[in-house]
Amino acid sequence: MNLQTIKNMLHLIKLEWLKVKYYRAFWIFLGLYVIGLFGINYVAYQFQDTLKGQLPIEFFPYNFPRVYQTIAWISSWLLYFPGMLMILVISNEYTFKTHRQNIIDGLTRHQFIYSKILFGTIIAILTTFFCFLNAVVFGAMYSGKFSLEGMEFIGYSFVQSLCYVFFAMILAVLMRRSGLAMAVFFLYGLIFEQLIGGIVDNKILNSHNFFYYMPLEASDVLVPITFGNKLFYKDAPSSGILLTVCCFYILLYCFVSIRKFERADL
Amino acid sequence: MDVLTLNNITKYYGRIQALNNVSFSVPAGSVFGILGPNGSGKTTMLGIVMDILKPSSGSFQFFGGPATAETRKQVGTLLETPNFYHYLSAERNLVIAAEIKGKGHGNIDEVLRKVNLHHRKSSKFSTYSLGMKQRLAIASCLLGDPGVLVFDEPTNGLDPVGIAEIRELIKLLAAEGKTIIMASHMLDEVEKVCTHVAILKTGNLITAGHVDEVLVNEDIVEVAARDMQQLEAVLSGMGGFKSLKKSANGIQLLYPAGTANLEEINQYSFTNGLVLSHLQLKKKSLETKFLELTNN
Repeated sequence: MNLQTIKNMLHLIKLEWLKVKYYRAFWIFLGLYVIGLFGINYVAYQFQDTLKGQLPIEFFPYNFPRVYQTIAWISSWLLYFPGMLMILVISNEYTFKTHRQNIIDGLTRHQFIYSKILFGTIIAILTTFFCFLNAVVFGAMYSGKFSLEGMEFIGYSFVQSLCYVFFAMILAVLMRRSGLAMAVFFLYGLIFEQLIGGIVDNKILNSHNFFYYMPLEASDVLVPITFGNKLFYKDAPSSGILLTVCCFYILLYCFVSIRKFERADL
Repeated sequence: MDVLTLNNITKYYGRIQALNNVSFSVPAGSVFGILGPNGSGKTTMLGIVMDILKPSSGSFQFFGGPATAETRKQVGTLLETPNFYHYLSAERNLVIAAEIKGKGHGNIDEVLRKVNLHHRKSSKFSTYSLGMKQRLAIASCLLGDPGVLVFDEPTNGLDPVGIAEIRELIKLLAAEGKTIIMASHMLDEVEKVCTHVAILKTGNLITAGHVDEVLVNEDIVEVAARDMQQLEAVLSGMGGFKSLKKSANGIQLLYPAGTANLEEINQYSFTNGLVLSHLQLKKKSLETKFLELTNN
């Protein structure tokens, strides 16, 4: 990366910053997400704390090193929110036609879509950072100490965030309207992926392998459930394979979004 | 030197042809009007040169070279509608535009004053009236003092005072030596401010050139007498006019602008034994000319 590339990148990040800096809805949304993240972990923490020692298994282990996986898994339920932020920010440009104006004023089409990719990456970094913060706080509260062991789940959580955020990005770029993109995002993530995966695995392939490689599921398996993992995800591919699959999807989303934005009428 | 050159630009939206082999050049320092009824392809054409739309075929150049993002920074453009972030104030919207153009924020106050919006610069764009939005878009074009301006229907949504103000502003900018490309469906607008004009009709370029050559004015003299057949025979022998047409009110004689002489016509008719019942000089309206150009 030479100096010019870095300058160009900072210029685009500054532009995105100017767009959201005074966008109240964005900050309220982000604030609610951060509170929600703490809230959902706190609920699980209370549940675990109350039942400490009364159950044969730990549902949500909050002691180091397992706290990282617990927090990453619980937090992953809220990954639709960073995705929605991404859809909001991109579909705004289409609604206000500012994607056109930005190009007219002198951005290249590539710069515009690249600035959204940078934005998505920053959102994923923030999401992961909050996740890490929660892990440190709850881990310390539960066990009264601190350790970095098991930190790889924070890394997995970052990859998972990227998967969700860029999946949301490609939906927004292809559908342009926030309502439609969000509906598809939720319906696909919560219902249709399981449905399609289930049909292909049970009716066509007679296995339980295809499902693991689906766009969002691949990253979900990377940060597996903290109890009954062997039951829910038997025969799951190794983390290395899942990471490769996730990276493939992330690159694919970015590639298709760039291509679409560079070639289509805006 | 030409600021903008279009070479055989064709554009299809699916099976609809929006532009058909359009070529022309915009000379530097001109106020170039692109005239055409709604749906004639004006905005499509400007969208293509701004890289918002991709041409199906053909090419274009800015300043004699390839068009890039850098050349777009040298051009202030208002395309179709004012496009701004609704949740940001006028000033903050202009900060973003200036940031993209790489021009610094120095003249934001100045351009806001030029379009009479300075007192409302902190109001959100969403609270603006249509006319204010349009004026903000023009202010944004003026950021960084570009040498070329592209205005697509610049007086759209403005009240009569606003329209007059924008026309004055355009004349002022032209007097500063800027090249202005302006699309409009309003003929008098083009006539009042443009030096050059290109006329588009359903995607076809009908004509382009200096405004005096394209929108020539003609004098029309309307004549009537009791015996119309005799009148026609007599007038045909008179000569001096460009053409003779029959109309509902009598006979129309078309003269080059400023050359019709009513006394002469009256005298000639009387000498030839005809008393005229009607004799009237009509300036041919540009509106008629425009309809003639676009409706055949």
